[in-house]
Formats: sequence, C-alpha cells, structure tokens
Amino acid sequence: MSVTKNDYSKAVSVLSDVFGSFHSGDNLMKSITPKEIKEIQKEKKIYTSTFGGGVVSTVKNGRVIKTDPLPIPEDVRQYEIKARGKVFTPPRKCLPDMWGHGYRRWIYDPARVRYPLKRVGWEPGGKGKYDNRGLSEFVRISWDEAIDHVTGELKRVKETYGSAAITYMDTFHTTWGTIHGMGTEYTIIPRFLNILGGFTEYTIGTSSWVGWVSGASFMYGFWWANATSEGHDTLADSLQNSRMVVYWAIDPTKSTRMYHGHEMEPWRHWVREAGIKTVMISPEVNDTAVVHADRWIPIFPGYDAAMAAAIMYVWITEGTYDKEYVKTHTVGFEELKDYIVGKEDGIPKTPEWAEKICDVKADTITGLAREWAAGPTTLYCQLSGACRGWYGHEWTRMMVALQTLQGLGKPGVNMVSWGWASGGAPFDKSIRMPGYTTGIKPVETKLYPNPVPQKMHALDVSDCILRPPVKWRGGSTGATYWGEEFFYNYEYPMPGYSEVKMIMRLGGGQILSYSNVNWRVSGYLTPKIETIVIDALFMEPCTWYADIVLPACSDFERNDISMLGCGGLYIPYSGSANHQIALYHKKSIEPMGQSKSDMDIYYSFARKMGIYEQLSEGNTEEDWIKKLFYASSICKYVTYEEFKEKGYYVFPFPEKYEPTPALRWFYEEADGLCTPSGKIELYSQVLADFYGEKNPEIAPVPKFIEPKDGRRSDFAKKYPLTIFVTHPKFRFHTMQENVTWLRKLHKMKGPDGHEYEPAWISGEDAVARGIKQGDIVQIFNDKGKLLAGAHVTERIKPGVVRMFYGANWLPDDRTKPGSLDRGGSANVLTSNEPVSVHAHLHRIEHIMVEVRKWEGQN
Amino acid sequence: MKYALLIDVNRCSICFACEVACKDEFVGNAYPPYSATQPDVEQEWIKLQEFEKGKYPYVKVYPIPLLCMHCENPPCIKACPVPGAIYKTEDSVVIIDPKKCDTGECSTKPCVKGCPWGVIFFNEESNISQKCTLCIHRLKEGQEPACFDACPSGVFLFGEESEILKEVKKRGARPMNPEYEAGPRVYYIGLPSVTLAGHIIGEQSLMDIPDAKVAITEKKSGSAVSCKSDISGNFVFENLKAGATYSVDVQCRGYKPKTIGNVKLDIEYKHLGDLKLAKATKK
Ligand code: SF4
Ligand code: SF4
Ligand code: SF4
Repeated sequence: MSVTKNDYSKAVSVLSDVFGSFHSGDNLMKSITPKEIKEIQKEKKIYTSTFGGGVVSTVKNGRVIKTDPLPIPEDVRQYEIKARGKVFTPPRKCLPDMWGHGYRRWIYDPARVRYPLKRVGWEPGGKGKYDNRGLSEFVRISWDEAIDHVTGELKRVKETYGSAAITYMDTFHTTWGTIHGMGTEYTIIPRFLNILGGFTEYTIGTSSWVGWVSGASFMYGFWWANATSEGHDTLADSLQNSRMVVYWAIDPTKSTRMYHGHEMEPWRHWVREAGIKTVMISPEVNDTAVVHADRWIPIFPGYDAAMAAAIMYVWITEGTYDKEYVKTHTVGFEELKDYIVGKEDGIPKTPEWAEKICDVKADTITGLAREWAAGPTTLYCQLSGACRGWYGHEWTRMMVALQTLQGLGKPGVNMVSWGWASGGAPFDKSIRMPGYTTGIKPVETKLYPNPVPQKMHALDVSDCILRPPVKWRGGSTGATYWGEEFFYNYEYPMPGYSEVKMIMRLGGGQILSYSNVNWRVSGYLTPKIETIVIDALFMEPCTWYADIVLPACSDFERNDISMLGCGGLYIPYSGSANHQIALYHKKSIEPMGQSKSDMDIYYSFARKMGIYEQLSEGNTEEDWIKKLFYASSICKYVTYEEFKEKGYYVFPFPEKYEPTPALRWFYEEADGLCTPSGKIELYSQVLADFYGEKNPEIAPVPKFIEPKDGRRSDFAKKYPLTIFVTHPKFRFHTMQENVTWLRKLHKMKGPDGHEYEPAWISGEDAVARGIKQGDIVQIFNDKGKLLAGAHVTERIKPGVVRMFYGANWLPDDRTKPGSLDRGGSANVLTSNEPVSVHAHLHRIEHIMVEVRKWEGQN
Repeated sequence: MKYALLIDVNRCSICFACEVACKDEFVGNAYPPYSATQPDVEQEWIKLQEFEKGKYPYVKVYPIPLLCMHCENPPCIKACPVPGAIYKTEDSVVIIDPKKCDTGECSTKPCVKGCPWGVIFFNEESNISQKCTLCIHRLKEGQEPACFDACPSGVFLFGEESEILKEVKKRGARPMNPEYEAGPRVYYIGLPSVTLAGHIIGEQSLMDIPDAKVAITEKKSGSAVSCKSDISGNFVFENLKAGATYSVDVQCRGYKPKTIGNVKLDIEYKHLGDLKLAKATKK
C-alpha cells in the first residue's frame, strides 16, 4: 500500500472504526467492564525499548500517544570517567534516535498486516500457481484457516519429502525481544522445527561482519565476538591515553544505533572535548566526519588495504613501530615485513605505490603514518565499512596489523567499535541479563538439536533452489564463527536429503538487505517452492513473495524481558548503553487488528500439531519472563513484582570499580589469544596450511588484493563509478521505510510526485553527465537498474556514488526480475559473488555502476 | 521568566532526532489552548537544514536546526489581522491561538508571509496557521521541549534569558538575521559565514603543526586578524568579507615563516589545503 499524505489520519480513524480505539479484533467479541474501560482511559507511562533505543511510551485510551527518552532516576549512581582534568558522565536519560522517536508512527502505519492472508493462486498440496508470486493479491482468511494451512503443509511436506524439505529463513533483524522478535527468531522457531524433525538450515553466516570474522579472527581470535576484540573500558582508555583517534571506513554516528539509539554519541563528543585529534578515512564526509573529525582523507572504497600497507611501510622503514612488542607478542613479523618492503614480490608498498591504487596522496599517507606513530592512537574501525567489500578480510587483517605494530593493548593503543557489539563505557561485568539472540535458551530444560545436517547458503539461495546441486566451502552455521568452519565443504542437496519445498520466515527485510535482489527474487518464482509462510508486521517485498501471511505484533504490543541494547549471547557480556537497564517491556497496547506475538503464532502451530507441551514446556509468556528474571542478575536487586510493576530497573554503577581495559592483559602477558600460538599471528600458519603461500585471493600475511571487477579493471570501462552501499540512516535495514516522518527527511520528490531514494554523486561526476541536483537518474549495471534522485554533493569522492540499501523495491513487474526499480533499492545492483575464495560471504558494499540522467526511456 | 535558546551548530550530528521528536509530540496530539494537532508530514516546526560549503576535498557542512525564534518584536504578530490570534505569553513564548486563528479570514496567509524565517505553516485542512510552541505545555510541567530533550549531542542550551545571554556573550553566539530587527530569542554558534581555512604541516615531516600563528590581512583596508592552528594543524577564520583579497602569514618557532599573497575569497568556504612550512636553518 502506498502512503499518501493523509493516510495516517485516515489509518488512525480506520483502526479506531474497525477495531475500536483500544482493543484488538479478537477482543471485539469480548465485553469490557466499566472498570476496565476506566483503566484503559487513564494515562499510563510504560518503560520499554525500541530498536532505536530506550523510551517511555505514554498510553492513553489504549493508544500510544508519544514516546520520550527513558529517564534514569536521580538517585541511581552513574559512571564517571576522569580524563585530562575533565570529568565525563552520561546524561540522565536514554538517547533514542529517530527510529525510536518514530516508533509510534511505524506501528500505526496503514501498511500493517492486520489479519491472516492467503495469496490468490496458492493451493495447499503444491497445486497452486507460482509464477505470479509477488504480484498476486491476498485474501483475508481466519486464524483457524491459517493455522490449518501452515500445519497441514508442514505435515504434508515432511511426510512427502522428509524434514529437509522445510527451511527457515531468519530475517535481517527484527523487533527487539528475548521471547518475541529476535528471541523467537533465534530460539522458538528452530526449537519448534527441531521438535517436528528438523529442517534445512539457511546459513547466513554474517552480512555485517564479513571481513572481520573471515580475516581479523585468524590474526587475534575473538571468534565468539565476530572478531571484535574486547571493548570494555576502551572509552576511558582512549580519553585518558590516546593522542589521536583514527576513524577508518566507519560512520558510527549514522550506523551504530541499532537496539540502543545514540547512547555513544556523547562519547565521540568527549573525545573532542578531551583535546584528542581525530581523522576520518572514508569515501564520503559522513555524519561522523561532519561533527567529529578534524580532517577528512577521501579514499576509494575497497582499496583501503593499500593505504594501510603504505602506513606500515613508513613505520618499518623509519623504525617507528614497537619493535619490542612485535618480538614478544606476535608471530610472523618477518613475513609481513617482506611483503611490505617488497622483498617478497619486488614491490615496496610505498606511499607512492598506494597513492596510485587508493588515490590518497602519498604525502598524506606519510604524514598520517608519522602522526600515528607519534603517540597512542585509537583505531575506530571495527565491524563496519570496508569489511563488506572486495577481499574485506584483507582490510580487517591490515587494521589488526597496524595496531599490532604500535603495541595493541598498551595504554591508549586500542581498536574499537563503541557500540552495540562491544560496549566501551565502564560496565559492571557481574551483571548478566538476556539480550540480542539470547531467547529462551538459558531457561529451556530440554534441548532439541537439529537432526538434519543439510544447509542452504543465503549467498547461493536462488542457485540452490533453481539449479542444484550447489557446492561451497565455509559460510558457518549461524551468527558466530569458528576458524575451522571456513574449511568445511557443503553441498546442496546432500545425498539422501530432499531439496527444500517449504519456507518459513519471520519478519521482512532479507530480500532487500542482501545482495542481488533480482537474482534473489527469481528463486521464489518457481513451483519447486510449494509454500512460503511469513510472520510479518508489514506488507513489503518478503511479504509479497509469501503464500500465507500471518500478522505479527510489534514490541509495544506484547510483554518481554531484556537489558537495553545488550549483545546477549551473540556478543557475550557486552553492554552498549550508558546505563545497564533491565526492562520488563510491559506491553503498551493490545495487538493491532488480529495480530499476535511471534511466540503465540508458533504456539498455535504447536497446539495444532500436538507438540505444544514440548515446545512450551508448559510456559506462557509470563512464565518465560519470570524464569528469565530468576536466571538473570536482576533477581538479586528487586523482587519480580516490583520489577513488573515499575517496568524497569537501572543497575547502580558499582561504588568501587576496577577498569580492565581491553587487551591490557595481553599487553602484559604476551600470550593467551585464541590463536594457535596464543599471540597475534601476522603470518597465519592455519591459512598457509590450507591455501598455501600463493593463493591470489588470500595469503598467510595480509595483502592488498586488486579487486577483480573494481575501478581499475576492464569492467570499469563500461561501468566507471563505484557504488558505495552503506547501512541506511533513515530506516533500520528495511524497517521504517514506510514511516512518513522519516521519508520526509530524505526522499526526493520527482516531477511525477514519486518519492525517489536519494543517491549521492559528486559535483564533478554530475557535471560530466549533465546531472543537476534533484534530477531523476538511472543507476545501472549488469545486475540491475534503478531510479534515484540525484543529490549532487562535494561530500563524496569523485568516482563514487553513495546509496543506502533497504529502500522499498518497486520494479515495473515483480515477476520479471531485472525490471526497472523505481524504489531505489541499491541491492538490485550488488553481486552475490562471495567476498573471496576464502570467505563465502556477502560482498554488499561496492560494485561498479554507471549513472545517467533519466528522461523516461528504459 | 523569559526563555532564550542557544544552538551550537558545531555539535549537531545531523541525526534528526529533534525533528522526529517534535512530530511524535504533536502529530495526533493537541495541547489546548496552545496548539492543535500537527499534520502528519507537511509541517516541520523544527527543521534541520544541511548547508554544504566548499569544494572537494575541503567541505564544510553546517547542520542548522531552525525553529520559531519566539521574537521579542514578532513580525508575525504585526502581520496578523486578527487581534490576539498570535500573542506573546508572559514567558515570552509566541503562540498562535488555534481557536482565534480559525476565522477563515486569512486566505492570503499573512502571518506565513510575515515571518521572515518561514517557520509558520498553514494547515489547509483545518484552516489555521501552526508553528513551534516551544513546547509550552511541557514547560508548564517542568519538562524540556521535546526536541531539545531528544538531542544526543548537546546542541541546545535552553533556559532563563539572562543565564543564556551570559553564555551567548561568552561563546560569541549571534542571532540569525539581526537585520530583521525582530529580536529573536534563539542564538546560534557556528552559522555559515565567509571562511578561510587551511592545514599547516611540516615540509619534511608532513606532520600537523599545532600552535602556528596565522595572521591574515585584507589587502584593501589593511585590517588584520590572527589565530593559532589547532592540535591538527588546522586554522579557521570566519566572518570575512566575500570577494575580498587577503594575504596570509604563517609563523611558527623552528620553521621558516611563510606568506601567501593574494588569496581571493571567491567561494564562501575557502580552504588553502596543506600549507607546508620548511624547517628554519640553524643559526
Ligand atoms: S520566528 Fe517567525 S513565527 Fe516565530 S515569533 Fe518570529 S516572526 Fe513569529
Ligand atoms: S520546542 Fe517543541 S514545538 Fe518547538 S520545535 Fe521543539 S518540539 Fe516542536
Ligand atoms: S537532535 Fe541534536 S544532533 Fe540531532 S539533528 Fe537535532 S540538533 Fe542535531
């Protein structure tokens, strides 16, 4: 449904007409007592969290009327950092971002799925019509019918083809929750399918940490944390000891917001207030650069490893690296040195050599290298950016190598991401609370492993479906990697196992957040996939391609328990907020329409299939919350009743706090990393043993590797511009793309009234193509073509075009992959080729394109 | 009590939390007698505008939150034909009374045109003009305005006028467009102005040179100003004359002085790039 200017007020009145202003469709049938009505009419404050940070929602007449930052009570002790004569303390409130402030608009959006739906043309038993997936209408069905269809199909598919014929595709990220949302996705759904007999696992590996897990981990371990080294107490370490902060290929002000909002924004301000110099290396003057960087060093995206090599060249030739540390803390320095100085391949990696590759002036590289070596430097680079591009593992290994040469772990010499993943602020490590992906795991009594060994990889999904068999190596089983998983071989289908016939999914977002949308969609236009079921909040691309759509409710419409922004099991013991806040997540309102919580939906399937007792172990939502409460630290601080009544609890910061800055122990002990040698492996024997010394895509020491289809390849003759596809600012992947308040902030209205997704193009490239600010442009390559609004700016390096992925995909014909996309979904242009022979992972961030002014011709 | 507001543009991280928080406070929510509900998308009572100056690779971005200035002598009141429809409260907050404004007399939208900053919006559906109320309904409850409360970057300093004016003086803030003589209560730090900047490095070391003394002299008038380069070797002169020609002198102990004559300010944000200082020869 498209959203026009008055849709919101209409939607509000439609919702209140149809469902009454305060109860769900199901509840319409129930009578409400005058006492209950009085209760509903009262204004209430609910302390909760959104994927954009902690908020207090104001509820009146059964409706959320607004959200404000979650307050921190005056009497709660906060952390304090003393540095350079200043004292830094966080504000006494959470700092939700535009997503958090826009949550109300999102949950009341007219595009909400309000009843169970069935696709016209779909028939149970694989007898329907499939080539019109994506295009056909949906009809409303009852919950009973929906449950019959889903459970009937699960049963039939399992009996006909075996359990391997069922797969479950998790989303990119969904709403916050331990029991619902991410919790259901990571625990309840797999548990449900495993009880049924298992399923073919849909492997994503990772899509945001690509180069880190496949690169940096081989150097310094931290497998369990996706190669983000420990983050604790790095904030104080930087503020007290660093002379400079280098931001490299990262825009944390814009991108590091998920599940906590702007909690870290003050930290970056403190860096400046402490008088620490800063520099940004990036293809664009991103938001972080605007407010936090003294200087911008523009670079071609994907060529950063060359610059890093040249920095090391300066240090090695001038003797300004930490020779003692390198001797005691690392293995393989000589091999790395041979590569850097050119002994290995005859090419010294000089700043002049790098300039030709990455287009940063040699003088700038030399100057930066000397600044870096002049005192302790914080390298702010983890997670984001260049790790998702060509040979992203080389860039991450280079980053570790840089800090290693300066004595990683020494006061002020650290690597950070300061965010959701690794924290950074002073943090009471004795506190254990559920968070991201923890789900019900800590309190399940019986575990159900998946008996089906077969996997399907997200990178090859459409090939697996349409053109099996498919073989690949690496790619992991889930969110977290272990080194040896890179060397496992997989094939689909596995001998003795069926191909996938039925797909279960929770939440949207995947089709547009992953590479090569057109190819990805082609996999759904086939009778080979007989049934697709989705549990969704909105009508969006993943929903269009489903057969049965089940209405899910949002975080505001169900109860849950968690710690704000906590990394949960994904990143153990991380706290990414300024305060450690346990949240009861009391529901603010009743589920919209006939929507249900994620857990409820799976409970209803289980009931029908006779496995409810096994799935639930007799637990209701409230029982799980209670059990998780007693399994967490919070139970030592307040009673369950108090916690539930108040809705949240802010753990006081300990009176006595001993900071343990990340990796200081390694600096002191020179041993104990999770690598074969326990040291930093500048040369990786593991990689050497598997790939040998001469593999062109991965070597035992980090190298700059020329992108095959990059700006210096023949490919660039046809498509001369590099598109730089980054995490979106105005939506969370695809979520909130429909929020009018946020669309207004960035979409560009064309002469036809259509709201185009903006694309940044440099003044120089625009002039060369006759493009002016606000023009509609076509961006294209061999993968696809889209329309965007040109934002002509000096903030981007000439030769580079920038877009955020995740904009709504509006192709001329949803059943004809490759047709022109008017929504501006940047992933119609990206390639599903893997990062390298070593990393069978998404290479989402860059690809070559051409841009031309759009005058209506195809 | 009179309020005033100081906005530090240099701290703004372009996050739009302020804009969206204002939406969330007012869309669908009326706060009589001060405000009717804000429509879903058309109006932006606070609007963050990003101004970009300079040429690649030396770019300066000014993110400027613009909201009603709650003027001392509001031109909007003068423009409004309906007595009392726009008024100043005793706290000097300028309010458009949603009841009194709803007369149907203002098809020409005189107040919208009357406000020189364009922060009044006409609601075509309900026939009233609307704008920022400084969240007076929140002030009465002892809360901060919603947009200030949402800001993660400490851009807004809000409070009693005399207190704010002290800061204004201390930090050299200034109102936007003083020439309108409207007496705006909002003061800004870091508004765009004609600027000359540069980056000083050592010719041999290629490293940043902090604390260098940079003096610029306007050729015509001979008027001179000076400053010191910062920790990253950057220097900035703001509020210069557009089109004027300056000579730039750089001095630093241990280095030979450097002069660049005839720097013409042909663009608003002029950056001289890397200025390399040669080491002084030892005597
Ligand atoms: S800024 Fe405009 S609307 Fe506000 S008081 Fe001044 S003239 Fe009136
Ligand atoms: S002060 Fe209140 S009304 Fe004015 S812009 Fe801010 S949030 Fe909106
Ligand atoms: S909330 Fe603050 S930092 Fe964010 S855009 Fe508004 S003024 Fe700038």
